[in-house]
Amino acid sequence: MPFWIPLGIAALLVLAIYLIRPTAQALPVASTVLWRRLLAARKRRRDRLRWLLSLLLATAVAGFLSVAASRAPWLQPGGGDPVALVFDPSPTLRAGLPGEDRSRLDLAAAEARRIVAAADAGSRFTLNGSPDPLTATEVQAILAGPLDALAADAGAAPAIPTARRVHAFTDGVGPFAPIVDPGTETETVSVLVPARNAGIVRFTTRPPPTRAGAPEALLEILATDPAGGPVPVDLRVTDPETIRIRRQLELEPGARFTALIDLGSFSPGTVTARIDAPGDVFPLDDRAGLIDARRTGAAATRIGYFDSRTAAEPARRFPVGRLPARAETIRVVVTARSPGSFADSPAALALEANASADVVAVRPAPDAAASPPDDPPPAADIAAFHRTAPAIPPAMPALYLDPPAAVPAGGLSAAAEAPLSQRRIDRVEPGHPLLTGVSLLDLPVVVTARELHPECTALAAAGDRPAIAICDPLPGTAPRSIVIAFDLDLSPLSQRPDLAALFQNAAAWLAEPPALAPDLTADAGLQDERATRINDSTLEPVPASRLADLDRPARRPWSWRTLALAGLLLAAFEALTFFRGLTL
Amino acid sequence: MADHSVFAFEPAFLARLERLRLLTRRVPAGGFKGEHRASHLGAGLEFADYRPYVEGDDVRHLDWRAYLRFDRLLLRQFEEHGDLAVYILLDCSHSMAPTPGSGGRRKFDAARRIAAALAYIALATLDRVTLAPYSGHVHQVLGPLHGSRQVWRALDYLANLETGGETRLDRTVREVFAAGRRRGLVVVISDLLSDTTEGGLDLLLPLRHDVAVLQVTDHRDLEAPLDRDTTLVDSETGDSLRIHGAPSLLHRLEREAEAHREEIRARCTARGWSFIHAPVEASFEELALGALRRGLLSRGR
Repeated sequence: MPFWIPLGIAALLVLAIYLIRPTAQALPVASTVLWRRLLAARKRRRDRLRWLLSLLLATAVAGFLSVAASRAPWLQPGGGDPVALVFDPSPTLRAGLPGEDRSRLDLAAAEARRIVAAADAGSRFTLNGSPDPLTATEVQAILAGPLDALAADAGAAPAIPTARRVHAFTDGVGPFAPIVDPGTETETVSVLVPARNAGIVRFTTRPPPTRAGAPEALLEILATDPAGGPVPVDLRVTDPETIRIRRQLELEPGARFTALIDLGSFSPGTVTARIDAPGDVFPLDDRAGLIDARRTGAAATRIGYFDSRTAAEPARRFPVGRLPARAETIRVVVTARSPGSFADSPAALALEANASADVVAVRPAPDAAASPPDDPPPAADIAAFHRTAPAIPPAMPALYLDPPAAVPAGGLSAAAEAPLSQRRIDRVEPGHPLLTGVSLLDLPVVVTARELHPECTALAAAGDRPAIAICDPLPGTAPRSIVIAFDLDLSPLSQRPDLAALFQNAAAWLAEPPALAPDLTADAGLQDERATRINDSTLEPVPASRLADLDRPARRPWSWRTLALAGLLLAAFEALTFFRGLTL
Repeated sequence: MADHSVFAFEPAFLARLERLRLLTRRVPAGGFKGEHRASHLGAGLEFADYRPYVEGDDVRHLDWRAYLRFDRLLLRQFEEHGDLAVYILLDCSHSMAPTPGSGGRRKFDAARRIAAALAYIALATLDRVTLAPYSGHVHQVLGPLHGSRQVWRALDYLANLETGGETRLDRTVREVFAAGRRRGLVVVISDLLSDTTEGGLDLLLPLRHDVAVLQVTDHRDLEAPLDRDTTLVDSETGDSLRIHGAPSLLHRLEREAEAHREEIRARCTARGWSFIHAPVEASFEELALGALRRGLLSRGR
């Protein structure tokens, strides 16, 4: 309601009360002399009282207006340490309320707004441990806007600055323990509303023991329903081309559906599993994807949750927890034109010095006229080619070391016939992880001219000749590859520690799981099952009556506008009574 | 024919009145013979005092025996008696009879009875009585009357008086004494419910009259239903006064009336004047033989 409406109503009310008086009875008397004398005596006493009241009112008016104008925090009871508002970053707060277009996060924000409105005037607030306190108006504006800003990094425990009181909003699903000063008054506000949900809790691949190259996918679906009824689920598993599996399931609450899916007949690319369940309040776990499991092997077995609402800005709208660094050794299969020459090459020494990489086999290069080489063993993660190149690029990340002039695959097109010449590297891309800790500028290299594929990038170049090139195609289309286009034996790089760093970076970059498909944006990396079991809370559910209360706008107690309004009303009333006078 | 029923005094009461006379200080010189001591010594019958002889004195008043004894010329002086000029200013304003009917005229009837009684006493003692009824101005002045045979004339006059108008005692005093009347006793009979009362009394002070103020009051004037907002209408001026008071306000009104009365009483006392409160609730005999005797009348014969 606009500010002037209550002001106008109050002013009119005061005016009406003062001006509208009931009709008086007429009474003839002998004389009004005594009455006038009596009233004059009373008026003198009343004038003194009015003078005193007027003084008090004027003082109060001045005080109100001064406080309202200055908004002095030291005069207001809400001064001092701020009030901390902390929101659980768990994705389960995005679970919708049954039958409503609101989520638990909306519920938390509404409750936070009520707390802010009911706080003492002049109180300051922090949101999720923000260092700078905010005013009530600023907090209300934030809480009334998009709530995505309230979500912090998943799994992070925010450290709360010194606060007078801490209000933690959580649904109790998953661990949430903000770090507060000992002794700080802390209130945990439950926003748990039991709801019905079905979600994919596991979608991963594992190579079957008997059929190499034909991995299986393990799919698990979990359903919850506070009402206890069966949950119908529509399951669809698709590859990049079509729907491969579609099943109608009916899951009992708490029951787990498990399926092994043979991916042998699936087209290469992203495999997506999607479920639809009526009344589902948590869409984040309704879709999961695999990244070309058949080709990337065990390295790509991870699950991604898809949220269509957050597809536009996934990183901002839904924080992604990063997977931990790979712990196992990277297996490298080397194909060399001459295995003997490779064994003595700087590349072999660099790979050997790399603790994270393990050369599992060195094979001689087949005759160029022969058929395309077989796929590397499933145990390999990277295929390295030393002074040779296959006719058909491998289905795994590849490292090309001083390939021949013509490399039809691996990012470099057929080389122009140009003599080798020694040049110095004059251009690098130092921000790329491949060149972390590697200094290549002004490095003399013997390099030939090559034409770079449009999808590839030259990280280092000597003039117009690319020295190091990488190819990073879209996920699901082709694996990564690196081309070191100069002869390491003739380069002083072999004498520097930068070479080991270069190979370590190359192995890590090539073995890094490819990025998710664009429609698989959110890597939860968190308590999958717990997120799906959105009712698995340690808190009491929010009563239904509380939900209705949160919809009502809360009143702001004694804001500066209220004080100003009170001052103006008092001043107006005082002016009226002063100039109008009272008859009795 | 005037209605004299308001003056229906009992014969015994009249006989008692005849034994009274108006109390006053010495009457000034210049009047007729009367029963009041004059303010000067003169040619009376009662010896008063001696004084030394000065040239020009009447040698017939020399006391030769005293001369033989004291070898000094002493002149004998005698008390002189004269009549008293009595001016009765009777309030005939509307406030004296605010409502029609006999019940509403109680103050005016009481005032007329007092005026009649005083006139009776004055005329019986050979005083000169002037009746000056007034409200906003002086009505037709009757008198001075002299002699007991003028009693009926005075009663007729009083019986024919009517009330009306606004009380203006100040204007009345100016009009009555504008011609320079003989000093005497001025009796003001009024309810004193006027803002001009104090001003009128002040005008009497330089005229050096003896003044007696009789306030006639009616307790009904202090009664009003005050259970809600009330507009009081002044019977004299028509002015209205709006009040919103509780019935307890009437108690304060009584105290205010008492304070007003005491204020005027104090003013009169300070000037050596008499002030007599004459409530209509009291009987006239009680008033005449009680309050009047204490302030205005004395036993004469």
